[in-house]
This record gives sequence, C-alpha cells and structure tokens, in this order.
Amino acid sequence: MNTQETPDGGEFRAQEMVGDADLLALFARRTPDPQRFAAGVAARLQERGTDARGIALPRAAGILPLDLGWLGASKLWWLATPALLLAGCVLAALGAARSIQGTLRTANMAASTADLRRGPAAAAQFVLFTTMALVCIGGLWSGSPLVQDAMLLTVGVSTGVLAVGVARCARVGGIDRATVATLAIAVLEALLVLSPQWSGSMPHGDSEWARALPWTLATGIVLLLPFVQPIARLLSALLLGVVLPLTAMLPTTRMPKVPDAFAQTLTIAVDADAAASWQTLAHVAVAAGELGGFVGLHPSVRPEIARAFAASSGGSMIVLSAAHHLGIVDGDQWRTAASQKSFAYQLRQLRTANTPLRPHSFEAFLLPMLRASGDLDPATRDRLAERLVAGWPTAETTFPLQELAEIVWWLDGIGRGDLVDARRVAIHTLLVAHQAKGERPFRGGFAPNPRELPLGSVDSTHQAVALLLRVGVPTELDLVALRRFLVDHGSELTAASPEVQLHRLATATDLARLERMTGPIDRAPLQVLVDERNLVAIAIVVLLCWWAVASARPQPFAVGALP
Amino acid sequence: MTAEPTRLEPQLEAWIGHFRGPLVGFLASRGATWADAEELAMDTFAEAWLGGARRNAAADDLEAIGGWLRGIAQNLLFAFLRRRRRGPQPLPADDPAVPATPTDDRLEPLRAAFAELRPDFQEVLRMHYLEATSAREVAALLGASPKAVESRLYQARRALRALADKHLRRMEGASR
Repeated sequence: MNTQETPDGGEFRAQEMVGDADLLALFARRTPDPQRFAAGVAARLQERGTDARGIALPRAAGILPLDLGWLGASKLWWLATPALLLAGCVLAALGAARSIQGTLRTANMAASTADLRRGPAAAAQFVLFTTMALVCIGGLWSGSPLVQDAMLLTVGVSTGVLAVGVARCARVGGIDRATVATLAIAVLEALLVLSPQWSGSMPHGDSEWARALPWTLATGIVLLLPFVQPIARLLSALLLGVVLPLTAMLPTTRMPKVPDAFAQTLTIAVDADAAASWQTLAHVAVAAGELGGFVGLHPSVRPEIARAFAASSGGSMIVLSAAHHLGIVDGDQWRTAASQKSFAYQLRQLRTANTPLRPHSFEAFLLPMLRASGDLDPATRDRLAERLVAGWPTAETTFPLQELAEIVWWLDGIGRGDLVDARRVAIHTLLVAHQAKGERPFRGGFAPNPRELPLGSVDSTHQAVALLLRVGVPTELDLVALRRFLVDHGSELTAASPEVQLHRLATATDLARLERMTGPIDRAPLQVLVDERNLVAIAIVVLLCWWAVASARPQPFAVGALP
Repeated sequence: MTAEPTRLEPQLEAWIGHFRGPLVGFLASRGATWADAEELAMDTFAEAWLGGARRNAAADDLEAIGGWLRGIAQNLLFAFLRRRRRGPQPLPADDPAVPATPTDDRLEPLRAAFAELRPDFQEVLRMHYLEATSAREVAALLGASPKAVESRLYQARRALRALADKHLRRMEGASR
C-alpha cells in the first residue's frame, strides 16, 4: 500500500492508494483457490452426473427476456404473462424500451436483448408472447362483456402472481424498488390506456362508479412515481398527462344535482316549435315546485305562452298544456281562452261525447279551461269519469302506459281519484309488466309496448314514475334497476346543449321524486361488489403493485460481502 | 506429496478461468457471504455445463456465456436466500475461502472506505479485482458493455479514493 507522508507536513495521500495492486491486495484473501474451485465443480458434476432433471429453471433463466426464474418451478409465471404483455405494449408504444433497459442495467438487473434473440427456443417464446398480446388486446377491444370480464380477471390474477413473485424476489434483495416501481407503473398505465373499455359511457356492465376507475389507476401511478428513475418518471408523467384527460374525460357523464340544477336549466330559452322541450320544461317545473327548487323561467317563456293564447294552432296546444303545468296562467285567462271558438268546440265535445275518452298529454290545457268556464259540474264530472274509465287500457292497447298515465291524471284532475285508488292493483300489474328486463342501458326503464319492443324508454319511464308517485311502488318492481336506468339516462354529458341538459334534468327529477317517496334506493352490498367488479379488480391490482413496491429494498444488494 | 489437479473439460475450464472471479464477486454483492458465493459459483458452473450451454453457445462467445451464467446464478442465489430467510440461521462457521494469513492492517482505511461505497460501485470492484479480470468478462456477467463497465470502474475508484482520503485524514488526526 502506497501511503506516504507529504514533504510539507506528514499528510496522508490516497491518490496512489487505490491502484490496481492495492485493490487486488484488498481482495486477495477472498480470491478463490483455483484448484479447490475446480475440484468443487468436478464434485458437483460427478454428483449430478449427466442427469438433466432440475435444470429447467436455470435453462429458462438463460433465455427469458426478464429474469423470471424467481417465480419458481411451478411455472406460475405464465399467469403473469398478460400483465407483462400489457406493460410491454405501453413501453413499446412509448419507444422507451431503451430507457427502461438502461434503468434496469443501472440497477444491475440487466435484461439482455441478446438473450432474447438467441436460439430457437427464444424465438418461439417471442412468437408466443406476441400472439398472446394480440389475443389479449383483441379480446379487450372486442366489446364483449364476457371477454372483458375474463380478461380483467386474467390481468388481475396475473398481476397478483407477478406482484407476489416480485415481492418475494425483492425481499431477498434480488430486485430493487425502482425496478419494481417501473414495472408496476407500466402495468397500471397499460390498464389506464385500456380503461375506457371498462369505464365506458354505459355500454356494458352495471357499474355506477366506473368514473372512479381511471382516477384509481392514476392515483396508483402518481404515488409510485417518486420511486422510479428520473427518465422513467418523466415518461410516465407524460403518458399520464396525455392518457388521463382522454380516459377520464370521455365518460364524464354526471347526474344533475336536483334541485340545484334547476337554477341552470329552468331559465333556458325553449324553442317554441319543440313540443318535447315544452313538455319537458313543464315536467321539470312541476318537479321544481315540488322539490323546492323553482327559480323562475326564461324571459322568452311567457311571451311564447301569450302568443299561444292568441293563436290556437295545434302547436300552441302543447304550449298551453305546458303553461297549465307551469302554473303561471290565472283563471281569467283560461276563461277568456275557453270562449274562443276553437276551444269552445273542443270543450263541448269533451262534455257531451259518449265515447271512451283517451286524452293526449297536449290536451291537458282543456282541464283548467273546463274548470274556469264553470262547466265542470258533478254531472259532467261523472260523465267524464265514465268515459275515462271506459278508455282504460286493454290488452290490445298499443301504448297502454302512456294512456293510463293521462287517464289517471284526468281522473285526479276532475276530483275522481277514488276511481284510481280502486284500480291500484291493476295499475301495479301494468307497471310491473312494462318494466324492461333486457340489457343495460334499457333495463329497468319502462317500455311503451313490451310486446313489440321490450326496451325501456325515457318518455314511458316519465309516465311510469308519475304513476308510481300516485299509486305507490309495487313490491315486484325492480327499484334498483329503475334507479340505474334513471341514473344512466339522467347523467348529462359535459358540454351538452341546454335542451339536452333539460331532458337529462327531467329524468334526474324523476329519481329525486321517487327517492323522496321511497327513501334512498340502495343496492345490496353483494350486488355492489358484483356491479363494481371492474373497479374492485383495478383497486386490487393497484394495491398489489403498491405492496410489491413496498416489499422491495431501496437497493437490491446493499448487503454485499466486504473484503 | 501434492494432490493431483482436478481435470475438467477444457471448455469448462476456460469458462471458469474467465468467470470464476467475477461470478463470485457478483454473488457476494447480492447477499451471499464469500464462502456461500464460492459454493454458489461452483453450482452455477456445474448447472451451466449440465444444462447444455456447451451446445448453445460458442466457447469464445463470452457475452452469451456471461448472460447464461448470470441467469443461472441469480436463480440459485434467490433460492439460496429464500432458504436462508425461511430456515434457522446457522452459527457462523469458519470461512473456508479465507486463508489463515493475517490481514494487512495498512489496508484498513481502504477497507473502511470500501464499506461506504455505493452498492453498484462495490459490486463492480468485487467482480473486477477479486481476481485480475478484464472488463469484458465483468460486462458479460452484468449484461452491460465493456465501456460501461470501465466507466463504472473509473467512477468507483474515484469515489473510493475520496473516501479513503477521508479515512486517512481521520486516522491521522486520531494519531496526533
């Protein structure tokens, strides 16, 4: 060793101390004895002979692209393949393979691509990996819920196996925390890219919390970022910045908050010619009044109603009916209108005809006119009641729910609600028969004509909810499915037009009024688990990744033997 | 009378000649004691030979042989570490790899400095200096390029020099 004193004061200098000779001297006592070493190898060879059993794992270790041998001789690592494939897809797409390899090399867990390229076994394995990747990704994008569930299960299980393997390896210092975190982030980002398939707007499944899915993955990724190398952190953050807005914003449908949303939607201008909008406005306004959120109407609404009173065209009947529901027309105005020739004729027909009465929704304005004109005497009332009961829907009726809703409304309007109460069981039966049993997003709603098309529609569901509010909820009705239908169709898309918002709000008010009567409609805990299986699986994957990272040592081999 | 040297296949002997030191250093850097590292290295060569590496790689293809040995060594090491972690800890035994020669006290500052080095610097020094080995063999075992290994060796020596200097000053201060 070349320690020496300097001429000016006896200082030790280390410059010459770490030459090759000194370092060789440092390790000299640890240098293996060549003869003893060769004898040891020879003894092992003699002991094991030429029996090749038990060498499958070492052999695999020589050709695998990553050192997966630690997953054990049970070959469980095959289950981890899909997760590794997803990770590989993202890494390849980013063009970051070299960086990752560099990261691995820095951690001395080198994955030599030369190994992958060498030998027929490696080539066959590469083909197998690629084929499985295509199958996995094709299955995920096939749109089949069954395939998606199966793939998610596979990814979940394989990630679990991977995490357990990584944790086992990491605990003994075989792989460092940065490498585990890089692998975990790659898996989570791959899932994030694919998450729209599982958190999509509503095509499959019964999830109501699907919006949380990309955010769960993003949270998992962000919490792992501090553990990875700077280059991997930068790439991961960039990918997250691009993918998260795309995946998280796509399904940003949200249920309007009733009654808060009234303030935004009731004050919109309504197209005078859009019948549906006037009906919907009336629908929402009634709910707003009932739920205590009425905030007034857009300034254009009253002039439109005034014009409808002045004219008496077919289109204006809808506006007049809406005006009645809005409750903004006084008795004098109705009386004046009733004296107009066209309306007087309609009222006379209503009073004197003997045929079954099946009123339409746009004829609702006739009821306040009838009252205001003083023609709704007991005899007229009874006659109207008889006609309405005679018009009660039968098995041959095309749209029984719609007609029944109007008849019930009229019976209540003329003060003969007793006739409705007497037919409560029949109404319940009709409602149960009309609830759609098919697939989401049509299940749970009410079908206008289940014999022809058993799909729930928003309009029929409005009418059914009005009936439910009137006659109560039959025990056979699937309230949870109805709630899901209302949530699906009441959830508004970001940046939707005011008219769309109004229609969504009408559906949301149905749910608010229904829950006001029944109390909160909750799913059973087991049902929640089944419905939210995607989110549960993703959460488990995130937790497994965290666990694997937490299990790893900051440095893979900090316990190296000293010379 | 001296024992007759063990005769192995020339190709296996060549591998051992190239990789014995770096491989023991590699294993000793990852949790094995020196004695265990030597035993595991013997196991690695035996497994590699029995596993058919001789059929898959040319004898002079050091990169291929290095990658092969690394994979086997890591698996054996992980299995060994798991066994050690699960089972009862044996009492410290005499280290057969350490000869009965007295240690050189003059190397103490260097030994102390080495203990404070970064693990990856320690590893490359162990692999390179356990026996006089070229960077090519070390690189083959680490899956890195020889240039990268040389660069790391340079950095390791520089870091070691700085640490050794610190220890020398401390010792000099204590002696005054």
